[in-house]
Amino acid sequence: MVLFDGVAVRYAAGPEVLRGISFTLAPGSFHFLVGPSGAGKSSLLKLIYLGLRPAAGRVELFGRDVSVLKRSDYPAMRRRIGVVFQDFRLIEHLSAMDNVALPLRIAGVRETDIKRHVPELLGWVGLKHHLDALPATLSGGQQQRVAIARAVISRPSLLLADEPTGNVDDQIGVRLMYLFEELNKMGTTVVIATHNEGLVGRFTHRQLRIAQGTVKLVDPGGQAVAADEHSEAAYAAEADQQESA
Amino acid sequence: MLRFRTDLPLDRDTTARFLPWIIGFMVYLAMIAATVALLVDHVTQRWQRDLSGQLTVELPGVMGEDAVERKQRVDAALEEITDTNGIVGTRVLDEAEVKRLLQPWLGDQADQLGVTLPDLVAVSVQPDIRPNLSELAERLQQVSPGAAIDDHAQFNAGALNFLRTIEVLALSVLALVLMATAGVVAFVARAGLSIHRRIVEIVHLVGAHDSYVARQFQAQAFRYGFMGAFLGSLLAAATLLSAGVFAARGAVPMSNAVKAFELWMIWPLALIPLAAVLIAMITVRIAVLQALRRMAY
Repeated sequence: MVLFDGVAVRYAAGPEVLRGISFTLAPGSFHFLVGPSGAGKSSLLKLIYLGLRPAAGRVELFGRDVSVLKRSDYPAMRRRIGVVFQDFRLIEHLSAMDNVALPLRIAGVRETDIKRHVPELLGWVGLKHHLDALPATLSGGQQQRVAIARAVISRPSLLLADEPTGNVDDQIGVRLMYLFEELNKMGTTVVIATHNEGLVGRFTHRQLRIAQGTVKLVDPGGQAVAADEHSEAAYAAEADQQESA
Repeated sequence: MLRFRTDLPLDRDTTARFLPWIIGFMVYLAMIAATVALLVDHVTQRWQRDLSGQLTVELPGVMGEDAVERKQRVDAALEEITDTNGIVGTRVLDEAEVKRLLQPWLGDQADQLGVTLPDLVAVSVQPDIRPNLSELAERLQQVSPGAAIDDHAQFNAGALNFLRTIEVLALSVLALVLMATAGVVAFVARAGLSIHRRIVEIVHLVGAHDSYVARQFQAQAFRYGFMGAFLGSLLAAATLLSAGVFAARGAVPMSNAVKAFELWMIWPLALIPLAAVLIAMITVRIAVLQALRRMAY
């Protein structure tokens, strides 16, 4: 699903903010991306959603090397990725309904289907009475839920969320995490970036820990996972086991 | 009017707000320039057709010749002229007409100068046949020494050159106006793209192709282009109608040219607003796609 091999990130002519990053995310896996603020979590997510090109190394998405992708290949790749941005990135003049419908409209989904699915999902995230509300009239937590609904509405193969529970209370935060787990059970690969260690501790998912510009894969107990253990084949086997269980 | 669903709030851009008026003004100028070009072309063709069907043969008088001899010479010359292939009619101008034509050179007292006035023959030529004038000139020399044929070629060439220059100028103005329209529309589109960069980024990140973004700008260009084209056409129609009314009273310069307007000319003129809308849409598409290719996302 996602493969990083010796990847480095640098902004303009500045120093490398991430370096020598290698890991693999198997299809259907669930990972937390943890680290202190400013450690490079958002940069790593940007690399995955094609918002940034690596300064060095190789990034593969859905089996394709992103360095050889043409600009015209990006939209098809991005439609398979749902992103919850830290700053939500809602379109201010569009209603909650239209913001969530955006990926579907871009993908050419029929309006009748949009009018059926979008209110249903917004209802699920507790916003069924705010379909026509503009983002500016919603609270931070409500805007975040709109952003999450927009990220998951088109059932992406890969879901990336940058601090998705940062602006909501614990109860809603846990509820949103269950939504991500539900999506994961349906086969979506999930990566949640957070600095909320308490939230991470409530779930038994592997973690990509970022510190001092490098990434380390650890199991829920905090033990480092060996390189061969986090190979794609190993993850695929693990995913199969989870599914049969 | 003409609202489309759009992800970009393009209607709120202050730079775009004046676009319908600018396009309207451009369409107005383009339609007036095109009308001038059409009228000049039409008048030129008509004039060319009329003049190419006319010749003048000048038969100078012969010293000491009496009236009978003169009539015999002129009749012989007329016979030679009518025997020529392509000539369909002759008319000998009477003395009063000749005096009137020569009045600018000889004044009112031509009789008192003792000058023998030439006989002038107006010759009508079949439009599609060009008579052999050099051969006719030789034959005329035999029967009326000093006879000269004037096919108005020199005057025609000068006048036609002048009219063609006006026509080319009018067409140049038309082309410049259409190019300026394209330039303004491209500028507004790029400004809009810059203003809405953040939203463009978002729609890209959720999987939009560049053409999806370009279509939204094209929809705006169509809407504003249509409004501008409508305004400009209306104003141009009002101007032309007024010019027609004043021309009928002989109250505007070049009334004859204005009166040459014919109904069929409406069709080529109607293409101008359509072309303006089309140019706006195509220009916007090219400008937006070029700018998007330079964006990181």
